[in-house]
Amino acid sequence: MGDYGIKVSLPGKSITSSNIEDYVLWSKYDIPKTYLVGSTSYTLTTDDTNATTGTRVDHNDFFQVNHNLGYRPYFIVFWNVGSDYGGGIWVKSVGFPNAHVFMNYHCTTTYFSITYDYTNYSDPNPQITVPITWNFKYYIFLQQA
Amino acid sequence: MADVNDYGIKVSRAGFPVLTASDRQLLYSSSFPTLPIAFTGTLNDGSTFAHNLGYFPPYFFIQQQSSGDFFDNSGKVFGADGVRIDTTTLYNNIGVSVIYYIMAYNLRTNYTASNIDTTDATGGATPQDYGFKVSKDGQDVLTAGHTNLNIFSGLSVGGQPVRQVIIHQTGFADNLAAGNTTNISHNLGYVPLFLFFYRINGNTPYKYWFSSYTVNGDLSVTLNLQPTISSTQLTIYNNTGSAIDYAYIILKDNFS
Repeated sequence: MGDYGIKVSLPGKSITSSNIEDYVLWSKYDIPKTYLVGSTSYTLTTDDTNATTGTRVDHNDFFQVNHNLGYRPYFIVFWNVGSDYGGGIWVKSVGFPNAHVFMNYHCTTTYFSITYDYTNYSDPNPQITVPITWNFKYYIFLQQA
Repeated sequence: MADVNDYGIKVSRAGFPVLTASDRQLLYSSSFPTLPIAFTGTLNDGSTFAHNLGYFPPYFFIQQQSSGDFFDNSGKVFGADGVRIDTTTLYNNIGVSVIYYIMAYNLRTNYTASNIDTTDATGGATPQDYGFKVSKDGQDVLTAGHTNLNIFSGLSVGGQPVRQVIIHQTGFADNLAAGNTTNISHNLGYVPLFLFFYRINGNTPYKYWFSSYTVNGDLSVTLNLQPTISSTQLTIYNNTGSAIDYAYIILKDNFS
């Protein structure tokens, strides 16, 4: 089966080259493919982070989408903080490496999810004074590790 | 001799006629470079992988839990705590195993697509009647599942057209001074998906990052490095406090 496939070489490069850099396409090598693309958001209020007078949210599986690929695919998440940056700045997210809050992106063989976790359980004071909204864009690829 | 650009392969995404599809409606076009995955695998914490490509390649990584599921929540991608790459080796010191994908493309390449078609075609009514798929080596194209296809023009479970990422523009520069901003025009007319890599000037290996930020006690965010993109340009603001070297890949995929 390895005798079949498609190769398209770069201008001036030989189709018999063994160097992947000489090709625009060689089906021997996989190429990243986006499979599911979407967006969601999460809003945290002052009460959500106040254990004394509010109803602090310690854990919330607020988003899940099924991909049903049967394997764990690669994914990328971008996020922005709309109120801070006017919604115009999107950065690649790795969750929140913060003492109080984690945003955890999780991918199983069937679904992708985003979870909010409040981690500073010993501090009863609210962590924010005004509501804050995070917006997320996710890209689920077909690539299986 | 005929222009070499007269020949090639072009495949539109499901639902769009290939003759009138815009660049972002294409699944594949041999007019534009892609990001072939040269290496993929698992790299344990504290380990290295020798890719020996001889240049700085772009790469993805994702962390893996003991259950095998993937997650992305540690934020430990900076400096010696991160996953980073140089011209020969991928390093993992993030604290857990990662799955990595290393692409055969030199990050330190200046490239801009020679032709740009941003006029979208109207979608068709029979998106699944036509298509194109190429299986990986050793796989029967008639029976191969998604993961064993190199090119696949079908639809996802959610009905979205699958597409390969196609490169529109790449570039690099060294020694962007602390506090400075630079703008890079792409002229696509829409906000594209992009990848960004940087290192502190003079340091090696490259760190992998799209941006860096600090989450403050009040949950506000301080962006240390701000690569942001609009419908016309990529803007890089260096707030790291040190001069940086950077490289970027702007894809034809629409961010929104």
